[in-house]
Amino acid sequence: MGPAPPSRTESKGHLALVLHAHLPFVRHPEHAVFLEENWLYEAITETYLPLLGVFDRLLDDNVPFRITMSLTPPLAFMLKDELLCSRYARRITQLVELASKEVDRTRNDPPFNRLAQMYLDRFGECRDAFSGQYGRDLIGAFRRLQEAGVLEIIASAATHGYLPLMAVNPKAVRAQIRVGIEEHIRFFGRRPRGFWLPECAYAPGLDDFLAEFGVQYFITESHGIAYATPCPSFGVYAPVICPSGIAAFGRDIHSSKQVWSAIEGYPGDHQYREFYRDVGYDLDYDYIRPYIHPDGNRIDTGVKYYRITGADRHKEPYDPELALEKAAEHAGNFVFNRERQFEYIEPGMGRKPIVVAPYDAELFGHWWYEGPEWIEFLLRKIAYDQNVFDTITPGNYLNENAVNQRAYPCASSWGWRGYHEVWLEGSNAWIYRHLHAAADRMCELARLFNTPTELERRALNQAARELLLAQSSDWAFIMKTGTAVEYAVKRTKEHLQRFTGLCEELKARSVDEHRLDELERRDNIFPAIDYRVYA
Amino acid sequence: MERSDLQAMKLFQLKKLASRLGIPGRTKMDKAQIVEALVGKEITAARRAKAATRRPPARMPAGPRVAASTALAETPPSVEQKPASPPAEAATAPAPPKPPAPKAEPEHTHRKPHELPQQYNQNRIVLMPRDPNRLYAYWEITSAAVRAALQRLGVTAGEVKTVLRVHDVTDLVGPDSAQPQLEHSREYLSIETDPTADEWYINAARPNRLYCIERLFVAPDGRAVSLAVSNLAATPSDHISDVRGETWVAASRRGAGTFVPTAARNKWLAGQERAHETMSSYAGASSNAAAPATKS
Repeated sequence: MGPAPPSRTESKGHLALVLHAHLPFVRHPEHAVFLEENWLYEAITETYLPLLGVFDRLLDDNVPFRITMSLTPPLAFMLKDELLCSRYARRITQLVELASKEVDRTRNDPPFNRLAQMYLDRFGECRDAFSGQYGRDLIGAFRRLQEAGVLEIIASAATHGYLPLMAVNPKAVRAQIRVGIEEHIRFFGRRPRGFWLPECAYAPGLDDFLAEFGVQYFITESHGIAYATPCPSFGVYAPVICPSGIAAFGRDIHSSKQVWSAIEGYPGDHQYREFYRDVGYDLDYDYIRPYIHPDGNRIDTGVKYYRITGADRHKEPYDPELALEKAAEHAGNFVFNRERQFEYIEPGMGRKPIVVAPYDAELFGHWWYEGPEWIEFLLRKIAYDQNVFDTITPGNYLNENAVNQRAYPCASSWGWRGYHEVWLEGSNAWIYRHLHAAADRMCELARLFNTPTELERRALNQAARELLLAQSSDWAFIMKTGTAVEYAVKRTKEHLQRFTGLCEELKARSVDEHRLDELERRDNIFPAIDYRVYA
Repeated sequence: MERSDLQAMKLFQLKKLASRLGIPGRTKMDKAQIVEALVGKEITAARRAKAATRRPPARMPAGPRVAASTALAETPPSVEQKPASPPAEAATAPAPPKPPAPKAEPEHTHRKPHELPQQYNQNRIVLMPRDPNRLYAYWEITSAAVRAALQRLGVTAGEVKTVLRVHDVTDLVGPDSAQPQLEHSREYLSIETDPTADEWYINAARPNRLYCIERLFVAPDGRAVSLAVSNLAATPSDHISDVRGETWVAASRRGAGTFVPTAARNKWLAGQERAHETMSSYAGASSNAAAPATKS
């Protein structure tokens, strides 16, 4: 079945690459085209399909590797949703058409013509792979990789809720975790060994709920482990066992800085593709009109012709060959640095250290266009160019290292400055009194309705859906970073209002079936949810 | 590659190869055309990736200079910021993949949305940690609670000060009860607020402590009545723990035995345990109305 396990007796340590793939649930059947749905379509074209391509090629070539991914319930649901899949197929077909026109338009301009041809080829392959090879089922493709033994898929919270800030009602936390795990089992066919805490946000006691549902490990930000009590002997290079009995792994700062750092990270290299020069904004309005938003607002198309070039506004045409060389060089650099890191830390430990390197999956390919190629080079180089370390999943590490130090991890997150302030500040603090009140009322409803009628049961389940959707940490995050604030506020209010409406109808024992039908049609995530997760 | 080898391959294999080599125009080619395009090409991309010679790093990293367990003392406690995008932009944490919207978004105008209820008719105050030194609290005080408190004090609304008290209850929470005895609280921060305020940012907390916040009316003669008392909130740590001593356990589903304290057990450890138990034992924000009158 898959390639042989990469653990070699001579390796000094293990690298655990973890890709966290998440998008908030965005689905608007009430509109023919909806701008924010593009987040999904862009990620499919630029991240998920390319990553699947990388893993498939590595498997084909029998390259030994192990990688871990979280695929959150909203993302998994959207990738299986028929409406969104057909809209993606429509979008990628449009982009093929655009690329084809671009090839024609640039026929007398060789540097751009080559790029237009590149996009035509790549978009064509996406279109064909999506509907053909993958049968519009990318979740199935990830699942097959898990079954091949190279990928470990871990679960996450139902709607990626920011768990420490809903902890005033522990049942709300427990429900996010429970629904997240149940959805994971529904999509991937097995109980998850690991759990990705949204935003790596940990507060003492969360792990009790993870343990209750059979999770064996989770990941925290570096200081979640570094500042644990008592002080962990191995820093972040081994997991600790929490009082609940499950393991906590800490992110390694050094490997994350090399990729994430705005100043020194790889993605900022001048050869790489410039994100902010898209033909959707650059080209003549009438020409590009069919490929941007129908209401006339310019949006990204994914056809970008320039490289970063420098810090100022002057941009040179993108050269894919040079960019690929750079990605190979950066992969080599990463390998080299990890080798030095393992050579340094291993002798003091008396066991093989683990370096946990989690990243947002969407960094690779979408924000950093050459990211997936970097990953492919990286995994090949790790397999063939050195023998200091190998790749592993945290689950495999626990198999090999069952005994670890007991400690209480420190509350933390991987957000800016390492704690909760990003999600609790001037732009977004207002949501919490409403979210907490709604959670309390949901628990009250779950207690009140022991034997609901069929209509009431449907309304209770829909109320649970609306509450979970309102709790997405994405809304607070967007309010803070200011990218799509109006949309995030609208979603928060709408879900809370829908929840309140259902709550009041249920208390008055008169559920409006027509309205419920409409809500079930629109907010159709978690089809199998049972409101009693809040009891 | 040899023509005969290529012709022996299936079309989908040829397409995969062509994709890997970046053959332009490949999506429109038939088998004969792809074979022609591939004849003589070496799989340089794959070979380069597999057998790349080690190149010197672009930049020598500042590696760990001290032993692993204390290396982190030298790294800054705050987390590296994640770039949203190619770092031409100022570094901000990543949003869902999307470029900036063309229209300007007003900042922070949605702080008090009008379509959500202003009140839930639940007298409560909730305390939430933001970081090792800062907390946030929001509250709703019902008019019934206000009337009862004023009556108790025997004063009118215009005569009282509205005050927040931030109690450090780390040493007050007994092992058997989650509820701190606030009458014994000696360490608190008093903040006078506008009576109409319904939220507050507290910036003077200390790391690794347990806090509780109280909203009170304080009469001119100093007597005070509690309007609401919050849940317990623990501030996170911001430094490596002083507690040493190790216990080694195997991972298990539920609590692998009781934690055996070493001689170095101290109140930090108790604070951590207490914080750990707030999740399970203090479910829900407390919503006590008037507590017994206390001296301010």
